[in-house]
Amino acid sequence: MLTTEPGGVTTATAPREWSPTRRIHALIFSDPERTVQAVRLLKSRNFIVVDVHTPFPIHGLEEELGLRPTRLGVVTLVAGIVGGLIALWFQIWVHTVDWPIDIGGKDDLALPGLVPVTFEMIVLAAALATVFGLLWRRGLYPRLEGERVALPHSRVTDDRFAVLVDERNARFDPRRFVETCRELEVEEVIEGWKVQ
Amino acid sequence: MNERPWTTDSPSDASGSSSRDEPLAAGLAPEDGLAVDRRGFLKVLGFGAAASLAACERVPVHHVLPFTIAPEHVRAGLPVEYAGTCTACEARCGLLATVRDGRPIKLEGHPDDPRTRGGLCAVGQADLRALYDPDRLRAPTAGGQPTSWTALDQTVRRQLDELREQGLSFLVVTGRETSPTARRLIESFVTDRGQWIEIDLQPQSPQAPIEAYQTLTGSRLQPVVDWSQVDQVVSFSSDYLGAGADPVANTRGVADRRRQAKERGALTHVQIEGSRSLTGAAADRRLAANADERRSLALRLLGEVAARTSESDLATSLKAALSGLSEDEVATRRAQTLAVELLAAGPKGVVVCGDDDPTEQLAVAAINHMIGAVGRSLRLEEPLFESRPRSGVGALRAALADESLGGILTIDVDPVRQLSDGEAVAQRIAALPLSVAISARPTATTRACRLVAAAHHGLECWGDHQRTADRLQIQQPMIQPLFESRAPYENLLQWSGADATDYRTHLKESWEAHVPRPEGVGFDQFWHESVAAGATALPVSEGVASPSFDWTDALAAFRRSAAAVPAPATSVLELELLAEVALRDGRRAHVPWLRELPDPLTRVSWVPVFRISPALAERQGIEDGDELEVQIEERSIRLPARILPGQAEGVVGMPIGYGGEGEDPAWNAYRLTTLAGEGMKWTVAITSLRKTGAHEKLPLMQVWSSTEGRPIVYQVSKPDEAVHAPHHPAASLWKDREKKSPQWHMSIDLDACTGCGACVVACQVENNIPVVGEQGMRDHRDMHWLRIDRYFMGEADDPDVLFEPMMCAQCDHAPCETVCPVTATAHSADGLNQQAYNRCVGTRYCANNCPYKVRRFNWFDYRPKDPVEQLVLNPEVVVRSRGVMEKCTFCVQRIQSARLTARKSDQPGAPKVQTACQQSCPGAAIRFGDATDPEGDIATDRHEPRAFQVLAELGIEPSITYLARVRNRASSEADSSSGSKPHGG
Amino acid sequence: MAVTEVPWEQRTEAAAEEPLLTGTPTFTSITRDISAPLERRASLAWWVAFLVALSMLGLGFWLVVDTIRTGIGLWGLNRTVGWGFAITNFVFWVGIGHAGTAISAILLLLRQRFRTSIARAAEAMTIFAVMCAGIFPLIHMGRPWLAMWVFPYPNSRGALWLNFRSPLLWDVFAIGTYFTVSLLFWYVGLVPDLATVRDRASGIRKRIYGWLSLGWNGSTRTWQRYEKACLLLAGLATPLVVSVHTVVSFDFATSVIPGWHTTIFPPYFVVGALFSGFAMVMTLLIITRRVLHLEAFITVGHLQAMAKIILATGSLVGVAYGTELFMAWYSGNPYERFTFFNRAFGPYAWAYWLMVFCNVIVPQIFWSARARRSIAVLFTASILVNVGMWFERFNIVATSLARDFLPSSWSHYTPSWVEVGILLGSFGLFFTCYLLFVRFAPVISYHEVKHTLAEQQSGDSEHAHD
Repeated sequence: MLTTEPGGVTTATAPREWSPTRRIHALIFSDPERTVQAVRLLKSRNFIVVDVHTPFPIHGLEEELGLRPTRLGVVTLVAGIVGGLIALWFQIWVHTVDWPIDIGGKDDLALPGLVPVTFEMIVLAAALATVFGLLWRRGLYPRLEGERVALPHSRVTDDRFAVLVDERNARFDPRRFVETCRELEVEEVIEGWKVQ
Repeated sequence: MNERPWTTDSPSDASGSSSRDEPLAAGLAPEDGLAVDRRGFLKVLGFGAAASLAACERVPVHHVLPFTIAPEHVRAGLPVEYAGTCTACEARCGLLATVRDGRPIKLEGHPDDPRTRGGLCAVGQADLRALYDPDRLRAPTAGGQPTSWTALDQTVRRQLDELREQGLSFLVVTGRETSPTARRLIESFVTDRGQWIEIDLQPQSPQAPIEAYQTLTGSRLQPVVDWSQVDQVVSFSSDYLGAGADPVANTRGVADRRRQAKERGALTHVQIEGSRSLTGAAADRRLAANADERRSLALRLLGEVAARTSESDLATSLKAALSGLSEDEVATRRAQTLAVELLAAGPKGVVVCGDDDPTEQLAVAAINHMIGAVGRSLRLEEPLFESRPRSGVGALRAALADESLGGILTIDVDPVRQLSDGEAVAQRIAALPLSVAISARPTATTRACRLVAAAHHGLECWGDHQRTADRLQIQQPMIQPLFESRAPYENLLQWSGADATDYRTHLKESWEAHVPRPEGVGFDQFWHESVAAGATALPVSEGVASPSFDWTDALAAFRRSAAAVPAPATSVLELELLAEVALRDGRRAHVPWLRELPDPLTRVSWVPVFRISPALAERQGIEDGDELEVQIEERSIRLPARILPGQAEGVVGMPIGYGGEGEDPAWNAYRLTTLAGEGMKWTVAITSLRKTGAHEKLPLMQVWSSTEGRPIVYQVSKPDEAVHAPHHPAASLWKDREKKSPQWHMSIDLDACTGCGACVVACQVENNIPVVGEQGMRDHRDMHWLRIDRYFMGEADDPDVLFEPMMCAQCDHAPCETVCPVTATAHSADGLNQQAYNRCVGTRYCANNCPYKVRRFNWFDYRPKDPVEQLVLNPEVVVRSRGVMEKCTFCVQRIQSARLTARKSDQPGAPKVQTACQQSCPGAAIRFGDATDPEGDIATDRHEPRAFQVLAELGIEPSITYLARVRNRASSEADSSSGSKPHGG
Repeated sequence: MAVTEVPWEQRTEAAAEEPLLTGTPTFTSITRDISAPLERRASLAWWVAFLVALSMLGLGFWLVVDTIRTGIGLWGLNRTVGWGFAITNFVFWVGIGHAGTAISAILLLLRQRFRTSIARAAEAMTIFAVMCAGIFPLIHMGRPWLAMWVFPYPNSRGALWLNFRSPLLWDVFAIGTYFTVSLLFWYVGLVPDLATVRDRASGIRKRIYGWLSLGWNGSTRTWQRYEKACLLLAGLATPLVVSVHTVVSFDFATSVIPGWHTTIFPPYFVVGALFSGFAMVMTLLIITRRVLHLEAFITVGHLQAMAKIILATGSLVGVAYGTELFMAWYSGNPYERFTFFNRAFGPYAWAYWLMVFCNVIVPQIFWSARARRSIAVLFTASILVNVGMWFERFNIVATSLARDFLPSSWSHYTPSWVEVGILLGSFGLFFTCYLLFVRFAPVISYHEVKHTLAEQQSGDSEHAHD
């Protein structure tokens, strides 16, 4: 699946399986503003921009790409509520049902004392859910040896910006694509960076 | 326990053979883990082939025997109580020892002892640890090498014969011997061999007043105070509540009398002394005075009393004799006040004296005579055991100096340490052809003697003791002897070639011959009953006919002394050698419990200190812990200083209990004593005193003596005066929990508490409380669950002393409980603040949050490692491991045991429980019980006007109520309750 | 690229905002400069510092082992003062941690751009400080081998749970959550940067960073969720940073001991924590920027911003001290009054006045812009502030205990050398971790700095267009 050779700077490796309809091309830029403009132009010309790889987040890109807002916040909220309820229920159960003993003469159900732990468990559950939600949703996990990372360009984590254009589009016109690339003064085009 | 089998001798066995009535003496060694006495063992013998076991040998027996037929009253794992006599000092209080599986684990006062009624002092409580002392002599020695008893006996017998052949005399030295049987034995032993000398090597010796009456009446008479008859007592240095002759009985007597204050009026107590004593701390008024001032005050008082009594020949001649007293306005005013008070009390007044000064003793006897105390508040009794022609230290010195002395036997005394020229005595002893020491422990004297007969501890042997004319007490063994030792007087039987060499047999024979028994009672039954009860009543001879007084010598002495009274304000420094409450004369100084028991007044443990007055400290720039060098002629002693308010300005106090075996010999204060007649002189003039420049951090239990004006302890000036304690918060955030009976509470009457520390040691014994040692005390890491706080109030130079026992108050809203993360401490249904040691992880948060600071943390592994030492542990109480928090739980093991007993016998209501501290308290200051019982002790005490709770304004609901101390004072200016104003809580 | 620092004299005081990046950085130069410390051999200075830190850690470790083997008795504590150095250190280190979270989370939410260059180091500091802090409650236990008993796990003894009302248990949860969330936040922040390092590395380093960077590829879809997650974590961490020291203050505030039982403690502790934390960040960054030559990224502007925070929090702390004294007097409670009087004039008065000097007086120097810009002044003041804040905790913990309700129990606490050694050991642990961190992880976030640069450039260009 992963075809990019790391360290291949100028030329893309030839795809092993040439299939004209299933390729994704990477357009490499070195300027964030150019990148945004490129996406805008490509989209206006009906090219399908599937993703942009950038060394840092470029605000506005997700709108250009038409990405839906993430629902990570919902995950956080739900996890927080569940974590808090479980913590509260557990403390109440311990002190009133399972092991009600006289501690300092206080009521078995002395709620103020249960607030700190409940609060901490809300935060903990929410934070864990948020992070693991992110990792799971974006397939981030420790890559073992041999597993390669899908990088369109080896400097995409450094100073290059890669706009990925999918040619699986009936209206994809290779000639027009090349023209557009020229127009955009693309630093480099990696043809068929990814083949699906 | 319903039934208290105080002996294994049951009356049904009365006709049995003599071997049957030996309770524990011949059981198996405790390390075998079997509690079998000989009788039980014999029964087991019949069971099978185990008959070959050597029952009387103390080699470990490795066979396991079925406990099918248990010895009577003994059930494995259940404690049995045996009656006996405490042998830690000459007070000989009645004892009740709790014995479990063949080993005593707790000593308590015998409730049937009419003198003590269940009280037992700290030394008596701690005597148990002296039994399980790993450093005891484990076998007889000859020339420092272990030897066999046979060899030792042969040597002694042969040498005694040689002495007789050579015409050399033999000397037996003992302490004050209270056993009639032993006395008869010694008397017969020394007949034809030599002489017996009894020495009394403690301050406050009862000999001094006896000598005074000898002078006055020609007969030896002992004044005994009947506290129930006293309204006013003036005490010249007599420490009758502390380290004096009979503190437990006196404390009980005084406390009982003070409790009747509402009905009968107060017992007012004035103390005149140089160093603050426990008795001085308890006094309603106190005058600090050095030895000269005391003597002159006694004479002035006598003069004032004489001047105010109706004209008689005696009064006239007394006035004449005392006319030579120098003018001293202050002293005269003091004497006048005292005289007025004493005469107002009349026969209900009494003067007591603990000084060694013969003139002062004579003056005191004369005052008592003049106010008519004799026969009312004071009885004159013939002292027991006054048959010996010569006794005392003077006699001993003379005997030692005698060329014809060929041998010496010391029985449980240490003259080498306790005489001022001990080194010379040691050399003299070593030079004698025969020197034998009978001792349970190595001492300076055992080191000097060639032969040492390892002696049983008092709890290992039989004996009898007499302290009052009407009662003869039994001492019975509570345990199989731990080592190859022997009952002290069994040696005399062996060496004199008696038929019966067994001391028990001898004792029985002696009783059969000498002790009068009721008509128609056979001896065996009599013996059984006496052993079970721990004592037998003796027919009381009619009291001493009123003696005829001859004042000639006394008047001469008064005249001489009056002329010699020094002018006031002479700045002489004197060193007062005093007995401290814990160590007394040092006989039990090796017991770590006593070493660690802080002195009630100085609050110093483990080491001796010079007690100095604040004035002296200020003058010389001395601070607590500064090392002082005191020069007495050519001897000098260096000790750290401890400033003690109430110390007479020119008097430096030094304890005598230190400097024994294994300790710095420079601590031995006996080296500074001098002879005064047959007794010893306990005050010596200081040649010079200087700071050496060295300083140490004292092992202080309590650094701060002031209450800082906080409302934490109170005294009132009348028994019915109310305490104005801060109000308790009315509201709680929480609903009150249901309080079912019983709810354990305690009340402590500070008016009955003398601060003696018996409860502290009782608690330590009962609850396996570790000893942290000198360094631990310096680091403030004491483990006492129960401590006695001591506060000074009032004038800086001679303040009132208030004692306040402090232990876990088992707060209903305990701050310690809420903070424990692992719930190691929680509240029980009966109101106890429980501590689960095995759950504790040791965060110490609970101790931090305890407002009373009564929780104790195991900083190190304090568990005893020596197998002998471990025998002392109470199996009912967990021995705590390192890193856990521990605390008082009102002796929860006793509560549980009482609950079980009550449940088994279907007793309704809360079971009767005595906590260890309550049981031991000589003043019966502690009461314990169910707070929900409206008729109970607790409810009664809580409604007393004197009742207050410490820090109750925090809303923690403590379960201990204190009753304020009463200082009987004319005006209410004495009401120096520290924080007089209530404050918001 | 020549990175030069413009001397402060040449700058106009009027400049409202200092440039957060100086010189003429490019994305490429940023990557190169920040990567430099990771990719070259360690300097001699680093080795010396590391070995010193490691030996301190070793000493501390050995003393901890000795304490566990022999007992807490090796410390200077006693029956009255049950907590001393250990809990003081605990509160101190927890407080240090706060600045990290405050910088990374609160300033993120407040969109304070100056945080970018310093957030990573501050977060790392948080993690290491919380690690140091967490050790103390553990080793201060009498039986630390049973420390797992503070967690509510089912066991074979039936109902044997915890006391959820104990502030110490709240601590367990608060510190545990704080550490976990801080670690997550830090690591999540590191992932894109680890990918940058990965893509520049080869061999074993590439493998390790490859493993650690979780397959990061800079996809906009990932960035979108990533930024959201960071924002959420910041949102979660913000109440957490306030709560942690609040809970720590409950250890004292909910007790009955005069000097502890104070309602002002939660805000007082939080402000104090920020105060000491910013001071610690300052100390670390002044060293870091110098040793790692990161002056272009961590500018005087950053330090000046932190100096202002130190001035503000220090003054707040001063107000808290005053309030505390006033309340003690105004309450009329003799115990409270005494405690505070004793703090100022008792045997530990020197510690009190040292605290007042370091925490209240010293920060006032930052009213002067000249002082705010002087590295020497900043460095000295930041260290003094931390000394002062350590003594603040010592005063609260030890002096309150040494003089509580009953004068009979009053005592004095003097630390043993074991405790001092363990404190040194905790600094050893902290600096060992920090030195390893600066060797093996980018001290400054590549992507955030680049983001800032991009914003600056676009701002400049917009400016130019106007």
